[in-house]
Amino acid sequence: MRQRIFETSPSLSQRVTLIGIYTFMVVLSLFCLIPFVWPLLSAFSIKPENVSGLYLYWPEQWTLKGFDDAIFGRGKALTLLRNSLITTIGGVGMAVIFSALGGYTLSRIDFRFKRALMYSFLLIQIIPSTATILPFFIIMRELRLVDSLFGVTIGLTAAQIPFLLWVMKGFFDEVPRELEESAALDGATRWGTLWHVMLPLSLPGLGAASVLAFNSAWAAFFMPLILLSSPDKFLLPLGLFRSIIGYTNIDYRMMNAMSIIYFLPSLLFFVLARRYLVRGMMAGAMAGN
Amino acid sequence: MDQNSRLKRRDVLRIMAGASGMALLAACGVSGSSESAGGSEAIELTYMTPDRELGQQYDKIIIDSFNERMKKEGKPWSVKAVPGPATDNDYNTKVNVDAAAGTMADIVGLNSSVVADLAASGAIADITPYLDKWPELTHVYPVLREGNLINGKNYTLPVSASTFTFFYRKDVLASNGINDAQPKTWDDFYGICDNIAKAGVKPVCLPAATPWGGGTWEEGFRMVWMSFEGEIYSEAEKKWIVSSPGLLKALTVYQTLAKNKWLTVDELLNPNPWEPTKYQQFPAGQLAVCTGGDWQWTFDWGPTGATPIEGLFEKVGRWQFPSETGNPFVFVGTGGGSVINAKTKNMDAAWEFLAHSLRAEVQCEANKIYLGGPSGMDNFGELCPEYKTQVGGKMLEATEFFATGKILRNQTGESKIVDGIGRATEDVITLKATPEEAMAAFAKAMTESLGADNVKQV
Amino acid sequence: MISRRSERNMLFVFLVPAVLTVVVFTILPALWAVAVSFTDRALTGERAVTYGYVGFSNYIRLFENETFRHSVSLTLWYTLWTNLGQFTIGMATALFLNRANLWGKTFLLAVVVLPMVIPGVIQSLIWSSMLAMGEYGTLNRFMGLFGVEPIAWLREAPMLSVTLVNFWNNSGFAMIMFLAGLENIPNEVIEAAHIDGASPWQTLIRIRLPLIRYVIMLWLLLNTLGCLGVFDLVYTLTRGGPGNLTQLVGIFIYDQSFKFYELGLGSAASVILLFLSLIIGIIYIRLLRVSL
Repeated sequence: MRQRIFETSPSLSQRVTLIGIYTFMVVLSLFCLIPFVWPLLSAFSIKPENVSGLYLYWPEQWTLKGFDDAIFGRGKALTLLRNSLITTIGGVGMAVIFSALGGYTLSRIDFRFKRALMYSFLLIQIIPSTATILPFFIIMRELRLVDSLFGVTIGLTAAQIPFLLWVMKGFFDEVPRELEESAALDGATRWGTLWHVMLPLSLPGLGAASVLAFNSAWAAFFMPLILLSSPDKFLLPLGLFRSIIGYTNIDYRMMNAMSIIYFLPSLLFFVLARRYLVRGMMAGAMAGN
Repeated sequence: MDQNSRLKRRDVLRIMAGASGMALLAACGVSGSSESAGGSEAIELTYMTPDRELGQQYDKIIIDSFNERMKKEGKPWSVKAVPGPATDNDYNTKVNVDAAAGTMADIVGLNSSVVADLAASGAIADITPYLDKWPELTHVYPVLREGNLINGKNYTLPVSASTFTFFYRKDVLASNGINDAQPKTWDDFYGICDNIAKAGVKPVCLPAATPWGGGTWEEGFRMVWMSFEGEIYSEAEKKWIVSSPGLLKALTVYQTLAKNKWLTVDELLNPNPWEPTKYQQFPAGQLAVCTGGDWQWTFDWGPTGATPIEGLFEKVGRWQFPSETGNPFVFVGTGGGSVINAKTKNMDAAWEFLAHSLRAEVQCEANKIYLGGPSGMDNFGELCPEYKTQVGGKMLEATEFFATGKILRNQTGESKIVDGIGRATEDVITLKATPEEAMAAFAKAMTESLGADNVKQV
Repeated sequence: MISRRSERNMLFVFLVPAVLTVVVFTILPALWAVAVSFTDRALTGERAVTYGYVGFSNYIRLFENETFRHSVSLTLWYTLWTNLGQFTIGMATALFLNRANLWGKTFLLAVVVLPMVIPGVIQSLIWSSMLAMGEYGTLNRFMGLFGVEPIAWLREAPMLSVTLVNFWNNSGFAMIMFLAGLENIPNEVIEAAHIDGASPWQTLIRIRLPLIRYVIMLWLLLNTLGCLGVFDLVYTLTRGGPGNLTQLVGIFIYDQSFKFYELGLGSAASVILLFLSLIIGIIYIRLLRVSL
């Protein structure tokens, strides 16, 4: 889409506008990117003698020691990474499946209290986990899910469903009913229609929703912290804090190496699914109109 | 386009299939492991301490030697480490949630600040009967058992303690020609501060204000308050004192230090205030005096500490806290340590482990990982000769204070008092409030949050 | 052919896994919190065992509590400012990116969205370096290039610092939402407006914004809920201090529940937060005249 303003050759005022736009873009990019410089430099370098590791410095010597410590040394990053991947992918996967099923229903039939149900799901999450962690923990105890990765997975699933349900319903609303009806005429079952017609069409939405859900599940800190107690089950964010406190000093190099390991999967997932994110949000955005 | 989206669909489906597969796997893993428990009579106790690298190494020595000994003696008991969160706040939260839900480990290492409440809720076991029968009890410094009492009972093993004093830079004072004799009264102390300030060095860091959290109380205010006459907590009436001449005088000390610009006010107001003070300025000799406990010899300024000070034992000395009556004193911090879950699988086994952890040969071995505080046993130096020279002999030296040191027992409601003092001292050192105003606000806030029945004005 | 009724029932079966999971792991704990808000239950100590019904006294205590009132107003201001800031940054970026012929478009999109992907724990780590006090703090060094004296950000401007990190972290989400909305506006609509002689500014205010008001609404709602309940970011950066300068409601609830062990009081504060969100949500829906 090309806007009128640029169709003729640029006048002075338009040039000023352009300069303004690019200035804004440069400032914004700097604001977004500068915070990443410190962890990157710190993770790959040897800290100069008399500088606190917390400050940004230009390294005199580069090293992979931080990653060595994090992966093969005391960081035990691989175990943590595995646990995080299992719980997050499992949790988001389950949440996406459940929400796809539920979202389809919400999109296709009306019943009393439907809106109330959807709103209460969304709104109830405003009660902070600090106020609900004790009953949550007791329920987990009764289900024998304390100190288990499956317990964390379920917890993450429950946390992601309300938002995903909204998004999925929006996407299914978009799919014309005629498509479904014609599939039904061809003899497809409800299940078959959902699987072969609805799901492929709402794939961008599914992708967008999964990216956002993955992000939020990947960052979960408090619930796993309380639920888990065996070190071989800890997740990455818990591991970021453990073993970095030797005495009282913090090994920022290893911490930043761990951070990069922790950050990479979410970046990767994001890059892979980025196309879905924008396209999906676009479809979702219009779905409600 | 169509081809493209079909491909992607397969990918997404594969991811979803993989995800549910993994979830199932995780589920199986769980049920598999829970089945393995039970069957034989073997009892495995769990032991939780913060997940800090050195702490875990220290505990491993105790646990391994215990398991080995039990095997040798043919007892079916063993202990397994279940590390808790690494930071104090998260650790306390985990302990309290575990206790409330009944899933606490069999044995737990506790910060002194949470013990009284856990005892009141019935979550931790009274070990007084075991302690009374314990043959080694005669070697435990009486002050430690005294300091750990909660309503006349012992819940924690009374062996961990830290002595609190001022730490000062001998070299800095000497090079500026300042007499470093022990200050007897606060006026003596002010005199030293004035001299240090005139020499162009920052005189003193006395933990205060909210950013330091619990340290404002533990490493600062409670000692200043105790240097004046009167109680902090009335054990007879079970009431916190929220307004008294002693409290007012204590707040006035902070005001005096702040008004004369002797106190590191700016640093105290930043997040992690211990970093600029204890880890930067004091080691660099830009700050002359700091409060703290025995751990500072190891964790803060020792060779492997946060900021090592070269020639630490020659450069740093200790002063007792000055007092109103001119009798300086040392504060003995007590109350923390290992406790037993009231619903443990086996009380005898848990006690056996606690007693084992105090055996001289075990302690002596574990101390090679680090020695962060004095031993609570008066014969430890004879049984473990290295102890006498470890950390410059400073830990052994500290035990001399045990006989005369002052103590303050942990009480329920302490966390609210600690928070209130943080706010009161913050208002005083920023000169936003006079000591009188700060105390009035403190009394009002504490009456509201603790309840009028639990507070007293003197 | 299956009957309509049994088909309807089957659709309800589809809903079961989602509803069951949320009810068991989210709704039940929330209802428990509501119930506890009417008791004097504590996390630990004597009242963890012997607690009782106290009616509305927790709520009354909160309304009389100056600290809590301060927390509520601070939270509302925080929500307002973060919404305004994110809207401005997000909308401006989305409008620029919506111009097809802008150089560096893909780069800017990636850069603005990048902070969104950073997990909270890392966020607070890297911002504690950014906002470190003294002349070596990264932000201070950067500002120093323009001759600005070093600032102790987390002490002198704690709320501003927290808001700044929020902008950094969340503007990407606003941008994506707005961009998605803007790109879906049919070209003809804009063309028609232009033919009618509307300036770009008028087109924006009168046509484009109203057309994407559902998107704005959805973003506003999600973002507001996030801001009202914010905890992690503030807790890791400032713990609510210094004093109670950054003691937002989320921190207040945490302090009551875990620092002072007052589960009843903390839960009551949560319920108030819930009502506050409900009211704000309804106001949004009315103001933007969207039907959901």
